[in-house]
Amino acid sequence: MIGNVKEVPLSEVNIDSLEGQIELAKLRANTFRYHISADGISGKSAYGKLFSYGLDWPLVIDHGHHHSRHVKKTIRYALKEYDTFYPGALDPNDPETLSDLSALMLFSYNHDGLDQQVSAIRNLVNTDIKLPVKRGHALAGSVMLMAYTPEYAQRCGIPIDEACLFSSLSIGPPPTMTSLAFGTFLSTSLNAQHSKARIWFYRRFR
Amino acid sequence: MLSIQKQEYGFIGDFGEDGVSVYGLPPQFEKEKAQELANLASNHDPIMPNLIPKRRARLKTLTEIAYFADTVDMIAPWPFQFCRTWLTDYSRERPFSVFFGNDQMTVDEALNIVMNGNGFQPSDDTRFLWELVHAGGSDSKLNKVPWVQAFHKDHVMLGILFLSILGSNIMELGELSDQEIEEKAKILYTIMQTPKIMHEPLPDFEDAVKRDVAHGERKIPLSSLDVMYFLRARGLRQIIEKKKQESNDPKRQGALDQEYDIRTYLFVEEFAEIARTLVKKRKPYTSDDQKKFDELVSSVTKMLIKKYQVTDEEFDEYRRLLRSGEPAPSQPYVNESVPTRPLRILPESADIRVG
Repeated sequence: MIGNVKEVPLSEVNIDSLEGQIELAKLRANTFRYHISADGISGKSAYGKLFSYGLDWPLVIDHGHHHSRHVKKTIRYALKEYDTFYPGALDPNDPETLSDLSALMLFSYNHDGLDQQVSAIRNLVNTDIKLPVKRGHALAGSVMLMAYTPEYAQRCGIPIDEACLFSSLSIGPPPTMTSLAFGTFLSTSLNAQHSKARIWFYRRFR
Repeated sequence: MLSIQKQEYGFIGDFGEDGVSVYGLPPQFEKEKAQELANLASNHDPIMPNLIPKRRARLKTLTEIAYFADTVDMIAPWPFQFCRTWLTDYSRERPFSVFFGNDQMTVDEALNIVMNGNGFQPSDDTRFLWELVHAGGSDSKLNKVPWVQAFHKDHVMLGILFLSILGSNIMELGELSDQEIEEKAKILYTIMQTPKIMHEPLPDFEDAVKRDVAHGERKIPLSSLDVMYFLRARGLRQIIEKKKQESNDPKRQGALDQEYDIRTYLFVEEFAEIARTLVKKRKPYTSDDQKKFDELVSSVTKMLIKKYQVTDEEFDEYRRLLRSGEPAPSQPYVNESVPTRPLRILPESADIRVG
């Protein structure tokens, strides 16, 4: 069984503030990741096991947990700095801000973790294949997140019929930007405005 | 789109025991999510119809933040960017310097691929330089945030100063046996297991590199790698000790010690892997090759000093940070953070629920 978790009552998170919404978005992403790994460790999901290994296996550590955690911390730091420099640009009173932040927070562990890292583990396990792990990994990760929509909804206690999928704008001329944009915002996010009463617990990695 | 992207690179097909991939995703995933993927494949509705301008602008901003966050780790913390690159598949299969062999590029040609090429570079040195030159390149709203500007300036300058020292040294690589690498790893492991590591003075980066050269043995600059991992170990130990002091729960304290043990093991594995990679990169560089490398780095350094308007005082401060191994003041995270392993989650406080 996967290790210890902390349950965070929603009452402890002030989602009226931008900071609180960032925290809630992070908790959702952590909850989602926790369950993929937990299913892998318990033997329920063969894919989940590869996902777990991909995050911390020393030979593929370059895009594993350490990188993902740095991405997550940078996102939180940048959001706060951005809000300080452009006050009101990320308006917490906008009903869709939390949804957008939730999609953003899914980026940190999943943009490489879902596809690229699993491909790297497959290369190690099966020496007959040599997949170029970077190729299409952002788009693959986004499609995988979309396929995970029902699970994400269930794990975070948000009804699936209230879930909304949203993608990035196909903006940004550089291919990398477009690709990452897909990776980020083709991801699943859910409209929390309808679900406050239903969310009581969020499990998160600590 | 996904299948088109993945098809030509061998992601689609029958992978035996692992299963079949139709879309180019991991076969195990395709098997477990077959229905959801079929639903997605047959759904042609636009994903975000009727996007209002305000939300469009916000999504653009958040996309820029995501992209920025992904690239930050390429250059911060500044001492570790090289290790991270050396662990990639791309790096393992290319030489350290583009200046190698008979039919090699001129400095101007190398400068051109750094300035105008894409991220797929033929060597580590041009890749490092490419990362530094193109950091924070776009004229976005995010790049106007003062902290973002400071971040780029600090890390680009520290990165290139470190590259100039480390790079020259790596081009003097000698043969190092697996046994010698293992010995180094054992010593490192012992150091990391010493609790007083957090109180020991910082080794001097430049001194460490010079020591390698001074030995005259033309060995891999493992002492500078030692320093990098020493810093990581100390950073991790400091966090562990702080968290232990904050908690009275013996179980929590035990878990933190266990966490440190696991990370130590991973550090040593990582360290040994990098050392082996560097052994494979050993090439007979000539003094002329090294001179060209120095010239290339010097050209890019001058360009970056001009771009970021680095004053003499700031330059001196960067040299000081380089010598001490300290993180840049604009670094958005500590070098190490806890927890760091995926298979077990650490408890944080008394209201833990054991999973």
